Amino acid sequence: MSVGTLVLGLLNGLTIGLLAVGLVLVYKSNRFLNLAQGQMGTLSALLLAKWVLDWGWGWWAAFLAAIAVGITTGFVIERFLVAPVRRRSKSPIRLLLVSLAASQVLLALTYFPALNPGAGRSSVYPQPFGSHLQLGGVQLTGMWILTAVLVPLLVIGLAIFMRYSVVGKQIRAAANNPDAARLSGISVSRVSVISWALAGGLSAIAAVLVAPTEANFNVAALGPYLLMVTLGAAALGAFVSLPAALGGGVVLGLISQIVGATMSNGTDGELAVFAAVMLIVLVRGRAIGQAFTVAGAAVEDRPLLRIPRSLVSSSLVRHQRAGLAAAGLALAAIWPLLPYFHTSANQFSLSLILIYAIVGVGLTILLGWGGQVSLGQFALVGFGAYLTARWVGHGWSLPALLVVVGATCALVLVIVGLPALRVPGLTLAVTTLGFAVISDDFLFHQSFFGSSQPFGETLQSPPWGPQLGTPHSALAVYYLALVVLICALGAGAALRRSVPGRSIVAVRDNERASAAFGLNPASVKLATLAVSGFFAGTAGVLWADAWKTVAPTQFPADLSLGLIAIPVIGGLGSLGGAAVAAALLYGLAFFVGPSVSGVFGNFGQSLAFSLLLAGVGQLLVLLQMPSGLAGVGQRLWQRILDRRAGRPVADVSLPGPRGPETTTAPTPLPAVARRPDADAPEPLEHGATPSVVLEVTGVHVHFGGVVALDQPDICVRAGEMVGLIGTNGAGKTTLLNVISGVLRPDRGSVKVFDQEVADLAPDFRAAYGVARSFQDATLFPGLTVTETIQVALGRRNRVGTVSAMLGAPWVRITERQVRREARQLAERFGLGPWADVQTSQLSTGTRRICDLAAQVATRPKLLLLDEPTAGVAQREAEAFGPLVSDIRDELDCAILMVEHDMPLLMSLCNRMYALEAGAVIAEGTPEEIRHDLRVVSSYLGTDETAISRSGARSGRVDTVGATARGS
Amino acid sequence: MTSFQVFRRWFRRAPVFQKISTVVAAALALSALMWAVVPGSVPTNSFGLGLGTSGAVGRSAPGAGSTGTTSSTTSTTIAGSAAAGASAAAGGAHSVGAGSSPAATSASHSGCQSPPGSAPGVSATQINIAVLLVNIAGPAANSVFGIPPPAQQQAAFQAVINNINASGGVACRKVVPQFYTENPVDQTGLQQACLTITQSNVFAVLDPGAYANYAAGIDCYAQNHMPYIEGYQLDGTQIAHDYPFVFAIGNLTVTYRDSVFALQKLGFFSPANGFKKLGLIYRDCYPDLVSGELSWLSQAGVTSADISSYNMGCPQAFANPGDLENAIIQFKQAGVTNMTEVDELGDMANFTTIAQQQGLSPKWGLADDALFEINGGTEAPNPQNLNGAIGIAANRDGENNTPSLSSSPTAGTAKCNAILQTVGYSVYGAAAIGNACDQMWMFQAAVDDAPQISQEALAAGLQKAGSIDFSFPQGPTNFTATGTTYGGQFWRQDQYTTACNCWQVVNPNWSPSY
Repeated sequence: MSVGTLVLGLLNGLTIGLLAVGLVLVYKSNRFLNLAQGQMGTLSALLLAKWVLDWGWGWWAAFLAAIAVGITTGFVIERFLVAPVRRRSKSPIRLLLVSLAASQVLLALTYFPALNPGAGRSSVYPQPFGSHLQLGGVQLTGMWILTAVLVPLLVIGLAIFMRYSVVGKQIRAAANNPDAARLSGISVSRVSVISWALAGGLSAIAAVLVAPTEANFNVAALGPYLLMVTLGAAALGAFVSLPAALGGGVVLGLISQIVGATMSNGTDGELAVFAAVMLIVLVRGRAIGQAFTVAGAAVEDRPLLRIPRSLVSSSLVRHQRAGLAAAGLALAAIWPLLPYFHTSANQFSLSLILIYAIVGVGLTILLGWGGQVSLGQFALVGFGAYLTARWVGHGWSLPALLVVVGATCALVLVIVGLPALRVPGLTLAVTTLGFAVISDDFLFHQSFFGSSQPFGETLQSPPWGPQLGTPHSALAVYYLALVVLICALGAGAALRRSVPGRSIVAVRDNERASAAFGLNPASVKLATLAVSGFFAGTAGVLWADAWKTVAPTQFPADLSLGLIAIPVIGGLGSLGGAAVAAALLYGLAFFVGPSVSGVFGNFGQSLAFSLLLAGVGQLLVLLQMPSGLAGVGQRLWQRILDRRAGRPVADVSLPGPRGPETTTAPTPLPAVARRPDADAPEPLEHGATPSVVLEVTGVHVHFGGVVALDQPDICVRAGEMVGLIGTNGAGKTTLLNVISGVLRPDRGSVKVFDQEVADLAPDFRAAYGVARSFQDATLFPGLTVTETIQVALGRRNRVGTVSAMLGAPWVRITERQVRREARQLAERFGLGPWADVQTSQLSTGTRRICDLAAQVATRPKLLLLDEPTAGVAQREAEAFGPLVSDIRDELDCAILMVEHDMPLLMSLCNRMYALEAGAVIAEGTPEEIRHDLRVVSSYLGTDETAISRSGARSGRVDTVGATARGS
Repeated sequence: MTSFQVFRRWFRRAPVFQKISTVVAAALALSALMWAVVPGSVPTNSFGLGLGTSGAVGRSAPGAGSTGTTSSTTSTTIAGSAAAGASAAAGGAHSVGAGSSPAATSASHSGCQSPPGSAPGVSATQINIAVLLVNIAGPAANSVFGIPPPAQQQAAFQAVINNINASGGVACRKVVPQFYTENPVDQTGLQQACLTITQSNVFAVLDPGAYANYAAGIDCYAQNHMPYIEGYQLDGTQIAHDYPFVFAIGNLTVTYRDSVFALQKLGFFSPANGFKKLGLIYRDCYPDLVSGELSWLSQAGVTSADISSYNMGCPQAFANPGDLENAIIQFKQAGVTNMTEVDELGDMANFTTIAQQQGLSPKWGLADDALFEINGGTEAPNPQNLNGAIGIAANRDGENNTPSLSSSPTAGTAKCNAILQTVGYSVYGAAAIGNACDQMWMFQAAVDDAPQISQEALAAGLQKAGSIDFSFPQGPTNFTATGTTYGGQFWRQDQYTTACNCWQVVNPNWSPSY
């Protein structure tokens, strides 16, 4: 390793760092990853060359103009793309998709000849000034000197700006708490525009600085690799630290340069960078996780279809799905036989569309249902295609290949996704992008992987089976792909209707709550990855069969980015929508693209046309049709139904309750809740329930220098209702978090039914009979009330993902049973009218009732309630007392409840604990607590009236339903 | 509690030794399972129609023999322009021949005798062919690589076809072309084109370079037993793999091999001429070319200690600039005096530009793997850095910049030029436009001399034809060796000079391939 290598690494790293700084800047102000950061400056770099070489401008004038173009690009993206979407949705994934679509459009623009320097130009990119300076054997060009000087100055200036200027402080404030910033008079939108404009300017500078070393002046040439390195650099600073992002860029630049120089191999350098990025994701996982905390749904689902009551039993409605499927199937079956398409070439293209649709189904499950972004899905298709090419020569049949290759690709995506499990949020995007880059540049060229011929692998069509013939023709491959697509759609639909499918959405929407219901989020995510990978693998088999040749050039990493358009345009959750989106996108690209060459020149035939279609399509959907093609179709169908029902066409985006808004008389809790627990916690298997249900001793938790829990020893006995009070910050919720496993204590013991659980994940608590509600009662915005209760019931009705996808008989029996139980519970809790309404559309009070119903569904032996009446109107809050009491009595469970409503708490609890600064300051009956001087002075104050400020209780409210109705 | 949870609880609490033992055992079990399930190496796919015993398909073809890719010619030198045959006006491409090849006159269609048989696309009166036209999309447009626009390509092919038809056609039949404009970076479009063409009742396809960026796509034609005649060089492994359906203007394996031994012959590696260290940049997309280059260098007396090499990997488009910079620093530190490359066509412009900036000005010794052709485009290497470079060409590139040769073209070149001038073009005017003549003549010779009209028999026909006096930019040929479906069996020395920023022929005499 030489000084020259270090110099080059440093210089290249500075430009990477500059891009990463721009990424961080946008993240700090908008809380999402801007995947267009690299592309925002590409046009600037091209235009600078054009202005200097073709128009004769001075370099510095062109440089300033290029920066202005970058700033304008950032402004335009923020103002016209990001801001409108952000107004509708705070989903970071949706905003990330906006940036991805914008990057595709920007990349497509670079293909326009008019924006490129003329054909007769010089092959040397214009430099700001000449230089003969040498360092470590490296002749520093004018651009490199500018890089060395300008980038550190820019970042230092930016850091000072962010730290000391009013606007910088506003940016940080708006990033940390937009609502509070607004209340303080800060214009969040203005702050966002400034951030984007700055990011655009930085991107333009980075692009110009790097352009002289890029072939054909095209900064976009590095594409996904540059994006991977930039994301890795930003990850070093947990996406929030500007200096660390710059440092990350320098580190990765140095690694690339040093390893490449040491090994004399560019691929080795790339592999080392990939490994470093993975390491950064793992090592900085905790910090990234904090930065990526996502509140609420990561992806919004479209509203459910509202069927008029008069049409519920009509054949039109009862057979609507079957009719749609039959129509789609008939169309797909006839399509390749139509005159224009009745050629091998067009049938081949139609096969590709179906293959893309299959990948799209997998992506929809991963992105739409699971909220996980994969930017390497097409690499998996390549993986599957190579395995097919390798194994087909050994006589493997098509069914065997589809299953084995699919399973192998499922395993591969699980492995690639493992680092992302440790880190919540969107880190799967980083790891899969890395996988795509490495597959393209390294894996698919390796002989050990099956790349036996340098130009590609030729293969024969695999047979259906022994003596069953071989689908040779393009038409046969098309119908094969159609069958696989139908199977994929059927399997996906069956999955969504089952426990594993609901678990995927539940984990996406609320990991904590799903874990409290006994789901293991990591397992669910892995299953989601496996399903998605399986579909990509089967698509790979079909790909190889369709092409009859497999080559690395068929699987560029860029295509994986383009595939994201399918689930987005389809409607982020709709399998059918994904299939239609694939048909629309790739149908246009294959069949219309060549025809528009008269308009676009040869643009119409290029990858750029596909990029433009995908990018513009995604933007249109994200801006104008948030629920995608599926939403549009559903809206049209809703109008038809409304017209047939003879009622005015209503806004279907806010469906009302299913039935009449009436409430039922108070009823006992459902029998199902009182049945002996079939899946009892371990201690019950060994004998009677011990008198002590929960015992917390010596627990210590600190956040930085703040001691949150200081050995608050508490215990809860069977059948007891125990209250936990304390001032804000006393440690009540932290204690519940420790008990429920959301938080691991520094030390101490948490025993549930005499079993130590302090070191176990949250889902173990459910297995021990612990249920827990959360303050925010967010539940699962993408699920209906019935589905939410079904998720809770799922722990006792486990179903395998594979058997669910296959629609196994036992799965259907279980599903029927679970649905019936959930319906019963919903009815008993007065939630019948809202049974099919998504929980995101419920009022806080109704949502809390739903939460309780779900808790009851788990048949807990210990129920942890965290401020169950917070944010609930007084009258509704009053209904909680009797309800909770009933639950305790009928389930014979213990309850530990945090609550600020003292009269409520004191009327319910057998005993109470008072916390202060993380420690127990008092314990006893409500009366003892009420008169404890320490409690009075610490929490209740000295004014007796404060204690009963909530007013006298009027006894139990009439119904649970009244609570729901009132809300 | 589920079994998985029991396992997780155990794994969380078990002693480290137990965890490690379990992981190792699981890995062993998984490995054993994979070993049992996953098949081993893949049988080589090959169309194998006549290439000895390697063919999995196992059909034999005329001229079957060994898998050799080397020329068996015994001639030593062929005079450049002086060797032009006198029968240039006869129209039959192979009959234009240089005359020194023993099989050059073996075929004649003076009586218009057609080989027997029939094949798709061939009727009693006409023979249909497909002609691809290159149309590169986006920033890397045709002009970047100095490729004529599609309209110009079509006009050139049509002119050549008209000329052939006017002289009796091919196998006594009129040649009827179908033109397809294709974008080399649109692989789906290329695959569609193959499927369309193979179903379009055509006998063969001629491609000036549409598949240059997607060599795997050529397999589609071979799989469909469609003769594919291309206007650029292909890796020798692929030519053998797709035999007898793929025909190439040149063979990269031969080109690189010849360049090494020719450079050795010219004293490029001689310390007496200032050689100290050879810098080698390469892409490993074609490992056989790289291993071959190193082996040939070793045979040429250049030991591994004399070589400083840098592998750019196999990028889809251009190499990472960081790697180019690394290579340049490495070469400077290693004291590289001479440079060469393998499969680095796409990176030469950027590499030489950065090298020039960094003060690395080696003496280049280059194989003409189309490098000379792109010199007219915006992806041309840096002229200062290339100044004085020695080029080993299996074609006539440089002849256009060498007044003594361009003023007295070979018969083939003169004939082609006359044809092209009917549509307003000059054979020296646009890069590789003369390939329209060469490809058509290659097709004509293969069909006319084929033992029968059949798509499988063209290779035998070409080998029987023996030689064709190609027009500029292609050089003399000798197809007589078994398995030969490519040109470029001779080489000569060119040199790059900044005086004209072009390649010029140094020695007009041709030497046989090594």
